[in-house]
Amino acid sequence: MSNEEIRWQRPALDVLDSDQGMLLVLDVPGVTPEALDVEVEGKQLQVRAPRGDGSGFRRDLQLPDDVDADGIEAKLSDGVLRLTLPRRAEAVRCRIEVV
Amino acid sequence: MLAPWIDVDEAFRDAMALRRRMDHLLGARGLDGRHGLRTLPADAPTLTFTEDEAGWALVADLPGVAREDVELHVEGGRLELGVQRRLEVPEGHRVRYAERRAWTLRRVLRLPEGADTGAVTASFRDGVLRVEVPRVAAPVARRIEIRD
Repeated sequence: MSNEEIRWQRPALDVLDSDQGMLLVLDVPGVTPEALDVEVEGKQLQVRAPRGDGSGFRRDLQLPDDVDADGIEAKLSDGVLRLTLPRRAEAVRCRIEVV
Repeated sequence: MLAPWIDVDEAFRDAMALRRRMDHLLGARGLDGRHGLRTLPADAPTLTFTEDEAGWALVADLPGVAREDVELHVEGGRLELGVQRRLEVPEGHRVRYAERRAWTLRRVLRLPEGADTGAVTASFRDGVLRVEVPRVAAPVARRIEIRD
């Protein structure tokens, strides 16, 4: 089935962050790892998750400047997609010793 | 194909839906108290019912629900479904934006006439619950010999 024929819906999203980076959590019930398509182009993150029954989840997100889009990791379990994006090395706040 | 399934808890469910809508309109915290930010509510899932020759099926999207948080009972022609979705913030993380909700779902459904209540099966895969209710096997037609 081509992407044009799919009835897309917008998956619910949570955005969390930690000292290490950013965590995006999306509800994509019924999606298998094989069907999942996560693409990053510049700061644009594109998630396409067809379900195989004619419907699917689609969401486009703009990533902040301080995350390393190339370091993205995707984990899919129990119908929940978790995307972790590490913070850019130069963006990590470090303590400067004053000599 | 709603007709054969009579929802015993309809009124309760409507009340919960209204409450969620109110929460949303008022910009209030979700029932879980987790969301301090403005959120778009992702309501407790709707159940989908289908019917075919083999029987009936009930399908519910339950993303992120642990198997042990799904309870399914069949008793006296009724099917009871209880689901709880918990949302946990992983250690060291802060919530910046939240649309996903924790919720509790409880539905009591009367099984349709002709349902084989002893043969109900359920599967839970990729966050989708599917309950299959087969029809009672139709008695096989057989020719009766007429004796003298």
